[in-house]
Amino acid sequence: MADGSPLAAHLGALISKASFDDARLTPGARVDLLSVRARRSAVQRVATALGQESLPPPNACRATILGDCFWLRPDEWLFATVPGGAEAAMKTVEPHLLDDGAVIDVSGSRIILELTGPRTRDVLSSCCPLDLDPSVFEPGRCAQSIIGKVSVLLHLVDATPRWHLFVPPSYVDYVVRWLADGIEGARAEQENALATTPHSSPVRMLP
Amino acid sequence: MLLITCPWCGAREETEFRHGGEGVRVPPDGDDPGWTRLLYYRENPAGPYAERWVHVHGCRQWFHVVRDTTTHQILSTRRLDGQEGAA
Repeated sequence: MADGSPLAAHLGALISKASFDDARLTPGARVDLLSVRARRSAVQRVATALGQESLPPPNACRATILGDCFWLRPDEWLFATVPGGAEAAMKTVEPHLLDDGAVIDVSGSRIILELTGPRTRDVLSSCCPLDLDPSVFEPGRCAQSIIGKVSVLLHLVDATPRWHLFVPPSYVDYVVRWLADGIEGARAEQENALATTPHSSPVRMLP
Repeated sequence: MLLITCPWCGAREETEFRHGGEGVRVPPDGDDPGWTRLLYYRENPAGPYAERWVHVHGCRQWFHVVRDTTTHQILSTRRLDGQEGAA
């Protein structure tokens, strides 16, 4: 792992041992995080100031000029802005809140893990109770749920699928172990399938 | 495992929620027996039961649930402010 990675060296080894082409776990980009809490009147003002029609509806993420904006609860949104950008972002949002809300720098409250590859739905399903079927969970959706027993924010970035998991730093070790276990399982399953399925005999259904 | 429909987040598994006990309880005007009843007595019906739950690992919102205590079927969920679904 590179210097300054949020993942300690022992986890780096665990991850690279587990990861394979169809499910790869890497540390995500570093971001500054802002929590914006706002009453209904202020929500509209903030959205307008950011050039948006509205802030994201429940369980959705939208790109804004301050970076990705995630719905957290009816009166709270999370902005993931560039490293070191929190102060400037706060100055952008604060004047529009007046007395109807608050913006707080919560950088460091969560670390992003990135999970990519076609088998990642299986990996996540091994430790997260969300319904992640592509027909229900589309790119651009986010959801707060649990991995193992820890609250995380999941964001489906694109249809690779590429997931961003926002994990409290003190639980990264725990979450990575769950995911590494899931990846290990997915890889074993794939290797078994390759070993037992002859290459040129598609299964025929009898009428 | 119960599948509970959070008014904000939709159908989620029970492990994301916490049970908050009996809902829709009106505080008494001030007499002791009234407070005793509020604090220590529960209806405990066999059948539909009005409860409160909180989506503690999700949107952290409290909401009303009507659950059948004999079948564990969730009969309805609604927001505390009475409005429909996610606004």
